[in-house]
Amino acid sequence: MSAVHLFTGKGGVGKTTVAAAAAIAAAANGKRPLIIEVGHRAQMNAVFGVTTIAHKPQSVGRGVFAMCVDPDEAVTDYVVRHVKLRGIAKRITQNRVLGRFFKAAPAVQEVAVLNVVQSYAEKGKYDPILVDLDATGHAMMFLSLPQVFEGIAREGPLRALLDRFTVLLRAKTTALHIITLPQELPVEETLELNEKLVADDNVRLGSIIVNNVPSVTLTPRQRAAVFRRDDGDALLAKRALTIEHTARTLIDSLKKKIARSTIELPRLPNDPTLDELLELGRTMTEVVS
Amino acid sequence: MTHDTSSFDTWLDGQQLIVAVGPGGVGKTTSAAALGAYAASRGKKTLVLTIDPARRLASALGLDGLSDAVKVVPALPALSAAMLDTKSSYDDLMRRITTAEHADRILENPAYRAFSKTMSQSHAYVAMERLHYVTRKEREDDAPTYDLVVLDTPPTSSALDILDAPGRLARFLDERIVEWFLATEGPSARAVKLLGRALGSSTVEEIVKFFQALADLREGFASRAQETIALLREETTAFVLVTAPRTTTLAAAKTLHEELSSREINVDAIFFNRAFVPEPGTFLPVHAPEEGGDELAAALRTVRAEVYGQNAHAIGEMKKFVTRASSQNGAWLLPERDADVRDVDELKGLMGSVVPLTAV
Repeated sequence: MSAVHLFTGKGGVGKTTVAAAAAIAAAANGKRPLIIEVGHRAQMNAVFGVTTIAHKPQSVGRGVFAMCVDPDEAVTDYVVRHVKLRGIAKRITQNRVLGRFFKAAPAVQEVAVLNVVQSYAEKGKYDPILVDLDATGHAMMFLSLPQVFEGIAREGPLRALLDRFTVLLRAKTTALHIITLPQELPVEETLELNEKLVADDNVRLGSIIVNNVPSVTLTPRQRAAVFRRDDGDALLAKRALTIEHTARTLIDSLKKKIARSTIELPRLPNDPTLDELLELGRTMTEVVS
Repeated sequence: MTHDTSSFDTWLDGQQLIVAVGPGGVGKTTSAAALGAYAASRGKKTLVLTIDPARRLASALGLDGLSDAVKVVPALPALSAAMLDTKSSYDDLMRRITTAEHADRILENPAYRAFSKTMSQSHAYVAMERLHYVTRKEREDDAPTYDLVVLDTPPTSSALDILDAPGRLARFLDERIVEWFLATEGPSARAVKLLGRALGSSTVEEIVKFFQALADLREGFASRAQETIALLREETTAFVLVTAPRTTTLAAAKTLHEELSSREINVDAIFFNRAFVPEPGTFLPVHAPEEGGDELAAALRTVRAEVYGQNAHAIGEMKKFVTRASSQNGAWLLPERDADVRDVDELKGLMGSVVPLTAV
């Protein structure tokens, strides 16, 4: 069984970058990481500078493997895996009405994605597996699939898969990490999300990863001097110091309210290089080691 | 507005429906609300249909509490807003389209309960049903009508989720699929048995019960879907792409733009939110650092240089973006703000700080 790291957080907090950084650092430690991108996001390829990332794991450089789940292929994967008789599996996947049903039915794609994550985790060929989940609401739903299907899937392959997924989510080697920014709204939403996750108790919770932590390169004397001036440069510096101070205060309050480990990642220059991502990833020891 | 935006105003005045699309985390909801507030302040009776607004924006719009009813914004009576809550909206929808007794039967169905929670891109579907309801032509009640509806869409990196949303439930209740599942003998009954091999027979039983409960409503779902799809393609409907100038976000926005084009839908305007850090006291990007001064001046200059560099990079990215993803009414920038919007005046003011991309 591979270690599974799930990354969630609101859009724009840098889930893709953080997952990539963790994967690059894991590979540098001699591991064979696989990034699974969910929900036709098409962002990971931009980080690694490859044209596309398809449904099958591919090498994207730096010893990292990545795949982007294609919902239709994931459904085929599910049927092939759970209907042991090949002839019958083929009849199901090639049946046109069932094809339309799979495309239109709610939750089919989510279950298919779950099956992809579960099967790579069980095969153990790639380790760790880093799942770049979609926006928070979607991630919450994904994690609660076993409960959602409680009254519907009472026996059979789907029930068995959901039961194994429940076990996987609680395994010692699995963790859900929340990524956030050191700003008022994202932190507020992180606290709310964390409360829900703790209440639902579906998954082992990992770190709070605060991305883009700002730091101003001014000495204490210079900082004091800023507040005695009101020219454009000083106003910009004040703005930067205020942002830095707000970030500090918010991170402290996060640490106070959530007892798990908090990882702070410094703000990187625009379009970080893979080397810069490696440095970033190395600080996420809990995820990488 | 500080720049000439008459072309923008003319365009806005001609719209009856604006659909705001964009990747997550770009401030799409705030931008949609600002656009609505701006239109309302120009005298258009406007409704903003929003999804999951941040608490502060919700209270700025007077949308406190969990109700998803339409509320008039007290500080700007031409503006109304409603927040969509998936679960209650689904239940409301069922109650709206069928008898109380039938609705109760549906609401108690375990498959319905699960599906209304998980229906992939549920928010988009519910938003579209709600859109159909507020724009419907035949009215039996005296519910208000609007000059403009601004529809905020859920964060998605696929425009197809939104464009396909109206027909989602109709496709699921497709005549042939329903017939198959309800057949008790013949080849389709055998195929349903096959599905049992993949999912488990209890699951298939529940799906059949679900179809039994909803089969009669199939035509209604289909006709509403068709009307909504037609509405999205009307001349007076505009798609606005909201994005932020970060590289990964722009990559997602590019995909959205391509998907819209592939369905022959033009993007009417592009909004870049938090596009740049403004020079203090202005709505334009910070100036380049200047030479000279003492040691402190030099230290402060490094702060300015950093911000200037970030702005320059962002502006370069945005200009590159519009050469590959066009819009009929230009690209507009909303500068970075130091605080979140707290009231309607600030929301109206947002559109006052808009800058055309050509001006930077």
